[in-house]
Amino acid sequence: MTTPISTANTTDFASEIAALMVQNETTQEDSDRLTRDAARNAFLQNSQKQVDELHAAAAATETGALVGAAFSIAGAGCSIGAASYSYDAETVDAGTLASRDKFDASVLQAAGSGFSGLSGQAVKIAGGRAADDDAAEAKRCEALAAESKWQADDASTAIDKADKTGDKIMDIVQSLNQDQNQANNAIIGRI
Amino acid sequence: MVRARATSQASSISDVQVDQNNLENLRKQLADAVEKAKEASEHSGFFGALSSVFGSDIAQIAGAVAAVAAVVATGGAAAPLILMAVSMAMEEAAKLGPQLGLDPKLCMAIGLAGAAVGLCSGAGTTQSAGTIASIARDVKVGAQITEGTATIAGAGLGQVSAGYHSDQLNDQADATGFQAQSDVTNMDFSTALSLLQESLDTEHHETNTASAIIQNNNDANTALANRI
Repeated sequence: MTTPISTANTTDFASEIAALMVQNETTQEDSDRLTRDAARNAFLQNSQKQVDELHAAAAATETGALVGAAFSIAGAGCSIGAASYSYDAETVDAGTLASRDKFDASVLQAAGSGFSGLSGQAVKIAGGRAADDDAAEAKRCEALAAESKWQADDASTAIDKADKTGDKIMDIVQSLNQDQNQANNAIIGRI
Repeated sequence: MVRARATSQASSISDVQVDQNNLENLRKQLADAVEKAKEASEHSGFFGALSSVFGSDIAQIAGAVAAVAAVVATGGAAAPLILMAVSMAMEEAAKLGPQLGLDPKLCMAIGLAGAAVGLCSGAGTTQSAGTIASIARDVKVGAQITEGTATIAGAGLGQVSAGYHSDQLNDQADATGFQAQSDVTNMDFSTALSLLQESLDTEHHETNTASAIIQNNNDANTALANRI
């Protein structure tokens, strides 16, 4: 859209130019304000998502540790049971009962070794990997939040710049008007 | 116009005060979260160390004792000789341990254990091999139960440590959230200050313009009066 400029006199012309410039700066400032508000909201959203992911990572870490501990405890329990059966087989019981004890001991020993061996993997499967994924996602959100913050800062700088430019234009217009008025008064005095 | 500016300035000042209070609250919350995270980290480290002692050190030593006892228990008639060999091996290990970088306290414990086994083997010459094997079986099952119990205790303490670690991560997450809110409030604070500054500048311009108009009117009147 173009705005016609009147050709009445110098002051009006300058004032209109100044008004257009101020209008332009105001429009630019409004646009920068919208950009800054959008960047601010994006920063808030990304930061909140980062916090959520960090909480999820903490929960996954705890779950993984819990499952890993359960496997370790189960393995140790089986080993104790195996030791007990083995002791009975060697000292207390005899014959068929001893054979049964030995069999139970070997089964429990195998189960104990299995549980203990799977403990590390259980930690990863139950929570470790999920925690790593959540931590990575949190990092990504952190980067996005930082980017939004830069955008907001840039927009704020642009707004300040537009403000200062607007002030300068107003000063020039004021000075022009003052000169014009002085000239008019001088003419009136001379007549 | 000046009245309108005054309203706008009052609104900006109110915003600045609200943001200032929010910043103060967020700063306290952030400090609390960091303090909590620090405490959780200390607890996690303490229980982690205990877990390591039970689940790793004690369990491994008990496992080694059980293994040695198993060898002696299954040695049959050679049990006294095996016991003697174990005693000598332990004494040698106690001597060489420090050179290989082992903890001196652990080496001392191995040395004492070796001496104890040596005493048993000395007594064993006067005892039957069956008695030694029976004692070894008792030691074996005791050591195995100790190993299992230590492993369970280690796992339990490890879980407590993991719980505190999780608390620490949650507190760190909260701290991150408070920091982000603080950043946003800082942005709002700057915006409110900018608006206040802008309003003051505009008011200044408007006042100057009004003064210039009045001055111009006066000048024009004076010029007219002089001309008359």
